[in-house]
Amino acid sequence: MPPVGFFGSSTGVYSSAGGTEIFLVPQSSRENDVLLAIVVQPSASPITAPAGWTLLASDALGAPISQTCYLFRRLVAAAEPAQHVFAVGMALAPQPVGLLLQYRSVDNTAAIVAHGLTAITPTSVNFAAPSIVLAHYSDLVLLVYFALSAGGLTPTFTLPAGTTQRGPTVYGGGGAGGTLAIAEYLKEAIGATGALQAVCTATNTGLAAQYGVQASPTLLAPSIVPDVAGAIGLPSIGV
Amino acid sequence: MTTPATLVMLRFAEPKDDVAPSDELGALYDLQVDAGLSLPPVVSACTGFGRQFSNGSGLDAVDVVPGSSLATRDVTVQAILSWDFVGQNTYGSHGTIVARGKGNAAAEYVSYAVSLRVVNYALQIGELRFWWQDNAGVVHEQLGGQFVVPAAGYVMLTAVRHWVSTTAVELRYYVGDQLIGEFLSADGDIGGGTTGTFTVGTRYVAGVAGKFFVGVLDQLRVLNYELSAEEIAATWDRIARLQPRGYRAIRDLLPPGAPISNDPASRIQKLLRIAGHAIGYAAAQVENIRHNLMPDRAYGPALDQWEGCVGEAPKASDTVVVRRRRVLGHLRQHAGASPPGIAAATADLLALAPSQVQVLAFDQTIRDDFSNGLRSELWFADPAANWTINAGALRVQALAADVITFDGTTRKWYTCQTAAPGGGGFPLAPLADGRGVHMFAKLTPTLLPNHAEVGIFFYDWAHGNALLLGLRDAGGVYQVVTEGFRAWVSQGVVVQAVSALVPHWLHLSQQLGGGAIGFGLSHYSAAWSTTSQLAGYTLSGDIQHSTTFQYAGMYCRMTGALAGNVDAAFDDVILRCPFAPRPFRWYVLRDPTLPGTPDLTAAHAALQRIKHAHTTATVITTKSLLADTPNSGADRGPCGAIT
Repeated sequence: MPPVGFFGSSTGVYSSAGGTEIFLVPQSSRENDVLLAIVVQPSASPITAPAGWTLLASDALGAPISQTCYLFRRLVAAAEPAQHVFAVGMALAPQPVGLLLQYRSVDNTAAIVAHGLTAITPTSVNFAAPSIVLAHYSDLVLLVYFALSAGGLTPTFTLPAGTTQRGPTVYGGGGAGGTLAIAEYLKEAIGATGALQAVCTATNTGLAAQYGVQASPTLLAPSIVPDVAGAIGLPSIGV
Repeated sequence: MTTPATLVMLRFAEPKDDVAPSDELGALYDLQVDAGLSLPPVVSACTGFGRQFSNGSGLDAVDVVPGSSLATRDVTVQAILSWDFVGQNTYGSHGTIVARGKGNAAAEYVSYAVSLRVVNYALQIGELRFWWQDNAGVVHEQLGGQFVVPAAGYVMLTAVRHWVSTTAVELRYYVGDQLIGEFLSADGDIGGGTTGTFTVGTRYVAGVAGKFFVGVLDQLRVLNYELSAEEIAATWDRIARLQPRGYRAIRDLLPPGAPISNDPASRIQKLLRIAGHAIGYAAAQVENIRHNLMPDRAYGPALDQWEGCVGEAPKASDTVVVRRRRVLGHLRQHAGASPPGIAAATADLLALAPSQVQVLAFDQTIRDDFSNGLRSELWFADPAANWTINAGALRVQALAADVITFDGTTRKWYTCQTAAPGGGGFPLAPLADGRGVHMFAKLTPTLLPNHAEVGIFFYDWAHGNALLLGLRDAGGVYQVVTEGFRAWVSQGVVVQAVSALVPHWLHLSQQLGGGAIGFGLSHYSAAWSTTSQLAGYTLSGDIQHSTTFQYAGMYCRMTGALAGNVDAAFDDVILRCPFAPRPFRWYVLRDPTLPGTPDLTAAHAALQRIKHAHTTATVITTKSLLADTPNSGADRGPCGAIT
């Protein structure tokens, strides 16, 4: 049932002492919705997701930015817990940042269609997420932009034209953390998406990524082929 | 709330091109063709005649009563049509089914419009989508539901818009009985004027028609409310399954070999279809009742009636799903108002997921080992600086120079007290029923100089009554003592035992029965142990003291000048009031740190409807009594102290 529908989000809260990243389940969630959790954290520290989550992708970077970007997926259950606690490691610096997105019509069984990530060195304000190749016309493209704070300043992004930001911009760890912004892009065609570039407020170190997520299949519209015209159509009373 | 109604019903049943299509409900003047556009010709369609729309054709009309086709909030557009997918793709633009407004002035701003879009021609993917203009005239195209377009035949398309707020609009799209898309839009500012024009098959931009629909429009209706999935499915089931089955049933009644034509276009077969479809129509109404009468699927008047029966009035912004959930929440309560039922009934009102709704209920016993600190919702420490948490216990300290006399006349002692569990709340409500009250506490004295005393007490501040059980240092002798005060007058100190500077487990209780001893008096007993919480108790003799009190807690006082600093700790406090009404008071806590905008008043009202009559239920946003704080529940008894 493409296109996928975005319904809500929640920002991850990092507990340094507990070593957890906690996401509240958005209040609009209902059974069979799909939750996507995106977490960016120091690459040396692996993430343990709670039960029911599937790791779709994890992309690690080396120097100059030793960060890993994780994408998890979960189908909302009838008795969904109020929150999900990811074990990310204690006393991490910079602190992990994460955003949970609530969707309908995302295929909950398909593997990720494609993903690509690149490190951004502090020479430009341009954060270009590398192109990926979509396999279905209805694939959802999630754009992830992350920049480390520098000099106590928290950067922000201007997202690419034609994309829609999903959830708020997430600022982690005050001035010592980073900024995470996620956008959504519906290309409506297979093939390469092309690089999609956000503009940062400063020449910060960071990362930019694209993830292709498959939507539920498109339904064939049921139809009537009358042999002779004539039937009781839309109701004025009853059904 | 707007009265649910069908605004426009176009059946296009006119048999000739030059007979203007008319609205069956009379809300619109007959539809006309604007200059420069062509008249869509009459063709044979699915339910009868239809109109063949194409590039350059369109119809429009204004309201007979201005505003009768206007809908700036909820709206449902439903159509039976055959979309010429190839023709639309060739034309190369969206195809407008309907647009209410021509868009060129405030009165003509489009309050709703539904169009079809070729998304992927090779894959036969089409899209049904809403769009509208805001009050500034800005066009807001919405995400649409996509579907594989059938190679031939007629489809029933339904687009549903449910307005929640100026920043939230729910959209749902259906083909036949299939949900093909569900979205949440932020475009809740919706324009439109009463004198706007209702257009079919085209839309206007700057006075110029365009975005022509290519295909046959058989029927079209617009409603001013949110059509439910069940209602849509019931209609489709009637048209696609039950009416054809009715026709087949009539044919099956004919004797084999009857000398009539089997040609569907023959006169006799057309007559049989009339009877068959009538049977199918009746069957559909029965099936609809059978499937959709219960509150989990009810809609429209049936849902209204359910809400009336259980007293759950909806808000204007409530969706059908929310309304059903609230009715079900009411009906599902069992063995008291069950937590799942309460969550179902209040979650949406509290802007929470059901799992985030906290239902707090209590028994007649308060237990506190101070492992969660000195909880302000339970204890009132006076002065606060002298009562602290240390090593998991409640520590009281006093300096040698402190004056902490309590002798009835002077009341400068240090206390940490709570409303007794029989009481409605602290510090506002009086004790409701304190009969048979018990209080236990572990006392660990570290520094207890001469003239110092620490212990537990019951307190009726209003009448000057107090009953104390404590350990004191009397010139280097540690004594377990009791002392009662009535109207601020001491009834005498009783030295119950000589003890030592060791941990004491203290137990003060009111006895039930024991014979009449005068109005307002009861029998009490004190007990103490230096062994453990469970063993080694010594019981005092009968203590006669006033029956009522509001508070219970721990104290530290002096009987003369302190010879040094006082340092003692209390732990493992148990306060039990077997006749307390506390179990009949329960709470739904809305955590204020969670996102969302709760409707606390409505949630509280919902609780009043589903709670049992002998209980008191309150929606709260804090466990602590914060008098004069909005939404603390302090203004809706019972107040505060709910731990």
